[in-house]
Amino acid sequence: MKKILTLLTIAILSSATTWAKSLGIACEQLFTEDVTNYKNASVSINQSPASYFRKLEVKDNVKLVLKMKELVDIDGKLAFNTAEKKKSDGSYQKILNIPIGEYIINIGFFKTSDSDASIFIEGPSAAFE
Amino acid sequence: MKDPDFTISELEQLITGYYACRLSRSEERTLRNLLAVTPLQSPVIDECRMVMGLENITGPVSCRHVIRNTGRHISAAASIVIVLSVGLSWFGINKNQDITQSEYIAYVNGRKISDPDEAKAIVEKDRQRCLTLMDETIESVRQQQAECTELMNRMIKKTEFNIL
Repeated sequence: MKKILTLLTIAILSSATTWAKSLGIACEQLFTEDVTNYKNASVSINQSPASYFRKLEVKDNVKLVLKMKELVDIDGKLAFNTAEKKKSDGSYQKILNIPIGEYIINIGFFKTSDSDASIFIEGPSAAFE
Repeated sequence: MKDPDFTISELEQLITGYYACRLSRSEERTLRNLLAVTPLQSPVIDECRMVMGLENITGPVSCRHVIRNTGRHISAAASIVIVLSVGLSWFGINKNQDITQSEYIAYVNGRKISDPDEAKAIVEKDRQRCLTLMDETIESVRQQQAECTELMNRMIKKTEFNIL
């Protein structure tokens, strides 16, 4: 019985580790096939041994802009440095510097109106492994 | 279980004990022998006889054996979960480590750019724009922070002067 319990504990811990690893950065959830194929969205992705870059620009979609803001706020909890700027014209900018192990990744959110915004995730590739 | 003259209800009680795993190995053997020779019949007795008959075909299986097998099944399931977890972790790590060269993917208004050079140009332009915008935002916030600090210092000095 002890053996079974030990095996089960190891199994649960391994599963939890795998799950936690897959969580990563919340904003990455935005880069799904549905969003990349969305007619009012433009996506840029670059992945190389040295760097990782993803950008999503959305037009005329209030719901998606709200989702972007929500995810940026979630990732904001991980940031050691945040720069936030609100202008009288309603535009809003937020930059996050997030430490991941020995690396730092940057997330930028630029909202020009309630329905138009762009977001990017950038950093060394090793941070995303 | 030394008296071979059992009534139907006594035999059924024994069978209930057998199903509940309360009988010892020797009691189980005795019950099996009893069922083989007794002329008594009831749905419960017949069913148990059938179960034991099946046991003879597939080999003797006691209740303890069933419990031991359940334990083995749990161990096997746990092992499979471990193997799957390790496999998924390995796959996840290797998925990212397989990048040996730059990959550029661009979608414009939901349409994938198939020309690699065009995709690269779009992505690089976007990257530059984003990084510039990021630097501008950080610099702007720093400037405002510096202005606020300076204003605060001036006010403190003014207040000190007034006190003096």
